[in-house]
Amino acid sequence: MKKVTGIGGIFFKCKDPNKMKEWYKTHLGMDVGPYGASFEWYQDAEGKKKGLTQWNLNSETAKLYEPSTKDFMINYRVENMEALVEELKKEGVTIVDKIETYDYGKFVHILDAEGNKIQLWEPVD
Amino acid sequence: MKKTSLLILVIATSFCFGFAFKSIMAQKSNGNTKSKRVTGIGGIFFKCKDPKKLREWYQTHLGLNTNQYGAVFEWYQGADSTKKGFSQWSPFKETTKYFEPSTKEFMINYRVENLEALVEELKKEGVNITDSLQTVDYGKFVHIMDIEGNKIELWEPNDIVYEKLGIQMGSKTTK
Repeated sequence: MKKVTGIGGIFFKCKDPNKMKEWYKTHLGMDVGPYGASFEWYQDAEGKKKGLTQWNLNSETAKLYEPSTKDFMINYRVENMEALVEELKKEGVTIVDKIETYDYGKFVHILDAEGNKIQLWEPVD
Repeated sequence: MKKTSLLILVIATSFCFGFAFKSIMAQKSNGNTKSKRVTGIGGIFFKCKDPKKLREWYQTHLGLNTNQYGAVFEWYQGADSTKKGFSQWSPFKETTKYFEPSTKEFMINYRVENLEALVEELKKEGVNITDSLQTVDYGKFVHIMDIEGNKIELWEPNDIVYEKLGIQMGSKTTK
């Protein structure tokens, strides 16, 4: 079974997200909006299926990364989330919450072997 | 008299041409300064206690195709889907000096176009460049700091060489 297929996002904490977003916009030319920046790519050489990697900043007080105490979190794109979560449960992996479904995909959070919180995303690109 | 008018006409015409040419050149160089900077995520690096164990964990549970350096994600470029793009994923030892002078637990690599010109622009803009531009066969690299002390790796990739190196190592990409 295919599991992770790509990087869905990279999120990190900072003191002043608004100031930082401006800096990345100005100096690195990133198209930063209220939810950060989206990097678009293709899943196929024919350019039919788009893929997206989201980049965003959170304030230092963000609870999104808990129980991890790290200053970053990575989102991984997966296929077939429901089956994968069942597999991970069997393998004894810590699943932090339940699968949430939104119009842009399904999400669940797990912890890796060193306590890094991982966001898994089955995208609707 | 005729000769003089002709001469004036020729001078005037070449002046106009010169002016038009200069404007076109100015527009071009103007366009260049506004050229693309970051085009994608080239890599995510983070510190951990035991990189080998962690790579194995990601291989086992999340299906990443790992090698001794981490994993490589393969995709196709947004600007031209016939061209492949790659993002490197690597856990580092906690004692690594690679992220210095940043004290953060992670470092992001951004893919850029025309690194030499970008570095010149960033210098003018007062951005802290931490080293000099390094050229290796799979691309050009430089490191800069953002305003909150995060070290940033900028990479102008040579994706064709990068892919070849992976194949030579016998590594599979993750896609």
